[in-house]
Amino acid sequence: MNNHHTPQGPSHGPDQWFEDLLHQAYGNSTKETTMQQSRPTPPTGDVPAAELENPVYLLDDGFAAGVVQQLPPPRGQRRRVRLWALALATVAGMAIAALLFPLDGVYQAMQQADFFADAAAKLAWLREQTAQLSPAGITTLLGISTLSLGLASFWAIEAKR
Amino acid sequence: MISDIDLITRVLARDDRHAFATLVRRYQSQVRTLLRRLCAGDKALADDLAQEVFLRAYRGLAGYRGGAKFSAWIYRIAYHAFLNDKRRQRHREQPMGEATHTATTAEAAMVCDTSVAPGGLRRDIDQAMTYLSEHERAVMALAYGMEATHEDIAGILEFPLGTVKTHISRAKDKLRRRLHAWRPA
Repeated sequence: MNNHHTPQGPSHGPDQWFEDLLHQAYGNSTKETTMQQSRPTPPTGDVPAAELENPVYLLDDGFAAGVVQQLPPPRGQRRRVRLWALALATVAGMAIAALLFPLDGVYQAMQQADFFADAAAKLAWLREQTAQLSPAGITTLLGISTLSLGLASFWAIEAKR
Repeated sequence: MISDIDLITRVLARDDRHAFATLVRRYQSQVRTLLRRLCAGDKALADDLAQEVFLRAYRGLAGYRGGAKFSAWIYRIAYHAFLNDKRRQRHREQPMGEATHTATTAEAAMVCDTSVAPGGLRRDIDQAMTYLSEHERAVMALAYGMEATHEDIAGILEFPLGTVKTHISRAKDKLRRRLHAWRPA
């Protein structure tokens, strides 16, 4: 230790009683009644021996386990939860869309427009369908799309952290 | 024994909970002891804050730079957790904030029953510590409780070295006055 180490400052003088008092209260010679007085046995060898020799060493006493319990869920688990949430949100979005726009009618319209054969017909059909949508329908579709995109972006960013 | 750096690497690379638990077991005693001293012996509050400290350490582990000792890094977190708690307390008890510093002579009277020493001394020191500012309490707890050098303390608390010395000097003056009853006849 060097000269800047307070506990090892001048060892004599009129204020020595005070230095001794502080050492007694805080230093290694003290056995505090509030702290463990018996030498603990390290369960896993995790704690340096010098620390265990310290008379004011506090036994773990479940403290570490308590801290670990409060940690956020593991990253893999968080990712799984997010994927499930995204899948559920997608299914919910599709269910809402199906309720608003009956799928049977949509499928029949797609067949009539030869939707599966001709790309130009697809676009024309889409334009036609969109034009027929009510303002409320467009708003709902845009809302669902925006919400899905927002959630997907949020989860993607969170998963990267 | 696995080094701190290896444990930290495992936590960061694989989110290894066991490695983090090992770090907590390794430093829990020092952190709880430091906080008990900062909280003037309030063990329940100190242990609550210690839990918060390790949770913050877990979240901020990526920000730990291997250059400094892990103990210094976690003491710094503990000190800031203590300061935040004091701020919250002050916010809650606005008009009573100065109560501890205007204690009456009777309240300030030290228990000097040597038959219960060092427990009595411990209590008196804890009580005397309440008369110190947060900074003074922190430098004393680190200097005498954690055996930290002035340079270590300056690094932990992010104070200039001269400020650390000033705080220690002032704290000792205050404590010397408060603990005068313990002076041998």
